[in-house]
Amino acid sequence: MQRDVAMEDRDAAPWARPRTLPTAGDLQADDMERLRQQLGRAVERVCPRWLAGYREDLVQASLVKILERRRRGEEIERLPASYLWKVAYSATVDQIRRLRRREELPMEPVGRPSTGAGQAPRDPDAERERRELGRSIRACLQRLSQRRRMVVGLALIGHRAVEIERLLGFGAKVVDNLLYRGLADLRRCLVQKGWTP
Amino acid sequence: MSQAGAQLLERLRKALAIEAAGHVPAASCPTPEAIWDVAHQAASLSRRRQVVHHVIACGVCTEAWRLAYDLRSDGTERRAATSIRPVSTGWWWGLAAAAAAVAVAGILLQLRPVTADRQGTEFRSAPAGALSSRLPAGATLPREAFVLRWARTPGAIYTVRVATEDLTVLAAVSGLKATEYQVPGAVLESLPAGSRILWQVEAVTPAGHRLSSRTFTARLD
Repeated sequence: MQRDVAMEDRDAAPWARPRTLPTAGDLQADDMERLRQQLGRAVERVCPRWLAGYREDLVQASLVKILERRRRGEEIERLPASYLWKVAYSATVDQIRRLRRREELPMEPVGRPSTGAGQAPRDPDAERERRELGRSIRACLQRLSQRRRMVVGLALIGHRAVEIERLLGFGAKVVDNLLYRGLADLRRCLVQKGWTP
Repeated sequence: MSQAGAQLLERLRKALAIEAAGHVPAASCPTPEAIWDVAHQAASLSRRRQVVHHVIACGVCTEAWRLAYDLRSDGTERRAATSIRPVSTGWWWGLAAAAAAVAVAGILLQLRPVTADRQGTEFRSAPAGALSSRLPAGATLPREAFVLRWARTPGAIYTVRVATEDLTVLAAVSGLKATEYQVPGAVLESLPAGSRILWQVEAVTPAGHRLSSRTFTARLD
């Protein structure tokens, strides 16, 4: 079931809300510690570097999510390891969205650390140009037919054709065709917007 | 593919990423769990398409998508989430169909903003038509005489870029006056027979007009 993000608490971190957390008696201390360590590893893997300062919070948030499951009667001891990754991922994305709403997020793509000491200073003009090009691409994508848009959009994100086939359930030839025509549409649109040879 | 071509590929990807950084979450954003399920093929086809449709339009969810997809547990993990995505242009060229790859190259190798210092008005008034190949479609050429040929543009100086399908640059030469270029045999030595070679030529006319061909392909005998 899909949650409405807008209904989420946009200010407080979930682990900061008053909750009835499991007591020490609910779980053996060793189990709790082991779970925390597992989540710590999962968060470390999932969490982008620029979000490293939130790792402990994310571990805590992940732990809360899992313990809530236990409180609902689920046996967390039987949770597959992949679930821990999913929980860590979910907590991380929640945090990214929270920061974005507060506009506290560095203007960097995922995985990229924020500009710090030792890094070359940004060129504002180049950045502005890239952002403009990005806007143009985004606007042009919206003009494509839905199937072309999905295929070209995934290609622009970085997916290979075989991944696009698997994700969208299209055959190889269909993907090739949609990609070819979609890119042609994209190019025409970008040229119309002033991006020209 | 020349370094310039690779840089342009990177530039387009960066452009989208930078633009995406200005997005904020919307009420319509799927939950992280939904994005995870789709990225991990744990959702129905209709749901996958629904989520993908949103993800490609939403910079915030694109970030979430990349995180989820990169953590796939089926052995296809492509990078560590904590590292910068490497400057890999291989995906552009690994789009299975040469036609698609050619189209991508056609877009990306040629896209530049119209700016005053690039004499944008001249670009717009450049002669119509693109440079065409003089090689037959699907040509197979011997490695000792891998000669690329293209249509002449009067008085033009040419730049030729040659690359493998995985975007390994084989040659990038400029200042050519002839309408042909032989790819050095040495750079083709390690490639297996049947390899598809991508090439593109750009002409600068005496008036300063710049013409770019689409990306052509030829096979190695």
